[in-house]
Amino acid sequence: MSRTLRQIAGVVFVLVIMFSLISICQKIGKGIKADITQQKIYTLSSGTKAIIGKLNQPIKMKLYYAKTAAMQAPDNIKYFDNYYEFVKSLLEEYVAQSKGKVQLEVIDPRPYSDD
Amino acid sequence: MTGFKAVFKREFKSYFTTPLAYVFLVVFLFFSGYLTFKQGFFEARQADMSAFFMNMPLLFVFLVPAAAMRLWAEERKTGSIELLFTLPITVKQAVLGKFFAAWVFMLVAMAMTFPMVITVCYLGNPDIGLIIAGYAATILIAGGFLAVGCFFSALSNNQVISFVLSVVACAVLVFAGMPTTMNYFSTFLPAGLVQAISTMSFQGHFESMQRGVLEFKDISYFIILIAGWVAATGVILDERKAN
Repeated sequence: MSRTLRQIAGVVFVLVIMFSLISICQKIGKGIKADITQQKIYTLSSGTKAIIGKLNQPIKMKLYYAKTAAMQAPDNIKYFDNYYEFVKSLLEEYVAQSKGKVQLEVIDPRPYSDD
Repeated sequence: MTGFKAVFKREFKSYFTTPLAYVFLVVFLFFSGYLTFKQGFFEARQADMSAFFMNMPLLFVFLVPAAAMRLWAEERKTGSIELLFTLPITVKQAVLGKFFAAWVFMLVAMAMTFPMVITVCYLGNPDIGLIIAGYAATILIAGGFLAVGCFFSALSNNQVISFVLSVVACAVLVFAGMPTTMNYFSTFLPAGLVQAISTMSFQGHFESMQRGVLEFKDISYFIILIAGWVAATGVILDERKAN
């Protein structure tokens, strides 16, 4: 095999491994995180945890955000996207804390659809 | 380890013996400050550095390849790569030495933006955790660009070609995650593929780290990306050296 061919094969091999590893890590490492903000804005307070722990019937939360519409908007809509991500990660924290009592449904409203 | 140290020292010092380091630092510090204040640092009326960190990926797309382009291309052009590989060091040590020297140089550049932190602390009461997360994200993104730059530098013996190629590669990695690009892709690609493209892009991970939450998926993304491109550099140089 020529040297150039071996180089190309080697590089492609390394890049394929890299992309697969990244995809795997996105899946397995979902819950592992550290909140390093001073006011712990992404961590639930003990009062919230107590209330979620005392729930005796399932609660369904619906989060409406027009993500598809925001994708078609100019780049400065990013501000709302960031806020949506903040709210969503906070609600996901509720779901993770509630042991299945709280359910989260994210709805992306689109014209002429059921949502 | 001694081989790594020797390459690292030689490479790091060579930045400061040529005008490259000083030109790079002045241009970087000027634009990082200029863009921050131009994009409404005062108008936002918030004591945080998001206006500062927001521009970093775009600034690095052009500046980091400029710092990385000479790493291997120059050695190949002048022929000193033959000398380097006859010395008792392995390819791995040389690749890692050069990469970390460039990364520490970027750290120096980042450290010199300290007046920005002082300004924010003087004007208000910022969240230090957010600033630390922002710097961590910026350092990781610089490492990612450097690894890409290293690879393209090893590919060609012409510095200009390696610069242009790595700017294009870095720009693709950044812009793949921008909303306008995602919108364009979503017109003809299935939703899953669009999601995969945005996962592979720097932008989403950079922004999510900046929020102040250090997540495993973001940090692992940058570390695997850096390791992958540095390993690819090693493969290229290994094949050149073999036999």
